[in-house]
Amino acid sequence: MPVAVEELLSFFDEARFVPSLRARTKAGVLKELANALSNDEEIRHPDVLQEALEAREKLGSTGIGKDVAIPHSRTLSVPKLKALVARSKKGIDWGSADGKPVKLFFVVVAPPQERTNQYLPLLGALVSGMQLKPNREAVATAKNWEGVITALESAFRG
Amino acid sequence: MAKVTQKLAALQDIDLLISERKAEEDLGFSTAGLENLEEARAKLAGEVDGRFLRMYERLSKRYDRAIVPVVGHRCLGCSLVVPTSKRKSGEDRATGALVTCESCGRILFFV
Repeated sequence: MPVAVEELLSFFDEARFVPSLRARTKAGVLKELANALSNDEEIRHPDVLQEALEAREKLGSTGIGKDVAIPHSRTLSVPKLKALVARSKKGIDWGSADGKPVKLFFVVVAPPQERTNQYLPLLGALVSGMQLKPNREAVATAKNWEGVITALESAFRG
Repeated sequence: MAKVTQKLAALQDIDLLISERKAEEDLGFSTAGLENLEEARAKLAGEVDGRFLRMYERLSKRYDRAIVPVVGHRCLGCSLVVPTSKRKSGEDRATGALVTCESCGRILFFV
């Protein structure tokens, strides 16, 4: 059964929005993303979280092309499914198949025992939703969190 | 929490990544670096004391997951309440090492 758009959006939060990343390298960005997620008091093991994101990149770049990357992992370091949005103005070399630097990041982390089974559907919705240029541009140019979440809603509704 | 628990948690995260790679491919993600990840796993496993690694491998064969989080003071593998003495430090006070569930034997991860 498809997951409702409202449910997909519930995994995002303004507290997990990084409008402009500071890091300029892939390693630096992974650390910054892990730290940003770890501002959440429910996440108490940032090192394990960072290691999980780094391990996933070893399996293959999470850059899906068209300026977008979706770093993700199941990891014991998080108690429930959470998603984060981050942007980079200059773009980061992420090893994407199209060779383009990444400007939009959607991080998805979930515990291994995530029982609602929404981890893969959320990844799928992001991959699908970010194929369209208007959706990517809407997230990239949103002036605030409201704009980002509205853009994501539009992307998920197709 | 004992560092060995964190290393084993990272090891289990990698094992899960490897086992779920087909689902990742179906979504369009690259998994071409499997060898790189397996190398990283071997390196990480090499950093873990042999007796704990063997415990992890043995539990992994018995259960889906050898390490489970403690949520609401309960082992998420079998739901047994974790004794207070184990909750405080997240590690065995005598050995400074792993804490296991007294009922199912899984390694406990205090989130």
